[in-house]
Amino acid sequence: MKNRLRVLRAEREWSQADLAQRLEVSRQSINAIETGKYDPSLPLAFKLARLFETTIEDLFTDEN
Amino acid sequence: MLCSYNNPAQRRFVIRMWLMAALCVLFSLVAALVFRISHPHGVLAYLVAVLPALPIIGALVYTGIYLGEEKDEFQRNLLVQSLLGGTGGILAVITAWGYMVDFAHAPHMDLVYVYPFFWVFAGISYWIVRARYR
Amino acid sequence: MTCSTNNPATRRYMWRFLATMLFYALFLILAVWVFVHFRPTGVLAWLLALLPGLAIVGQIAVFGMYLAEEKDEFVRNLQIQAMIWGVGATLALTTGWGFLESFVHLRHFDLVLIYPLYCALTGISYGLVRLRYR
Repeated sequence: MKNRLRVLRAEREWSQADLAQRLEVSRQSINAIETGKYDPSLPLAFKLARLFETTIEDLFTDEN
Repeated sequence: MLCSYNNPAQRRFVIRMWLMAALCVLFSLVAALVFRISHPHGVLAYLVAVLPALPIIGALVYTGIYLGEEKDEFQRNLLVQSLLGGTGGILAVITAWGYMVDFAHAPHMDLVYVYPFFWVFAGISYWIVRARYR
Repeated sequence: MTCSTNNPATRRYMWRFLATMLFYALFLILAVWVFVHFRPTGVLAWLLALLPGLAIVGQIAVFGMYLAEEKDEFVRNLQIQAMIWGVGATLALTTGWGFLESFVHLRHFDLVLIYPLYCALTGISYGLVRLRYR
């Protein structure tokens, strides 16, 4: 699923590893989500949204 | 994921799996020795014979525990896909080999090798799945 | 997964499964007949012995296709949980039996029976896993 993770991450000058650490996941997970190859579960999506102080709908783009 | 790990849950898992593998080898040697030296019978024979299988069951339990402990859903997903690939691989090869044994007198394979070959196929699957996410 | 279903992935799977089962039965009968009447050896024997195994490999591939095509993520999750329990149980039983065969000369368990055993154990696991979500 397309998302704005990379943009929001760059705004805060966080590396993928930084973001991974804050979310307690691996860097591979962040990369997989950012590249749209892996869709996070609801709990993780909420964690991401809260971390970037936005909503899931703002973060992720449903292509349908 | 043979020696490297990303988090404590993975570290525990890798250590436990190697430990169980070592115990299996050890118990196999012990059981072989017991059977050679003292020729046990009845229930005792069965108990000694099944001893090397216990670490394998332990390893399977630890795998289940790791799947429950791993907080990183993506890592968990990677392992699950590896297990599925391993399952498909081992079942396919073992069945094809079984018919070769039955019909074409291929050399027989001991059942105990199903488990290690499962992990071989799981390992191959892991790298294939990992490559897809690069 | 019953006989009446609206899910196109399930329906497709059932037709494909039926096809692989037919091929399996056909190849098995063919192999047995040729081996009984002609007793081939060498490469021909191997190729013939490979046929039923290939049908089973096809069956495994067909289920893999189903897993990829199933759009309902909950059902897919249930299937995967059942498969993991199924393969765990299969590996445990197979390893135990293997050691018993080696040490106390238990009756030999044909390699080709491992796949049906796995299917049975996975089916039971599926029922149990579904219970959790009632």
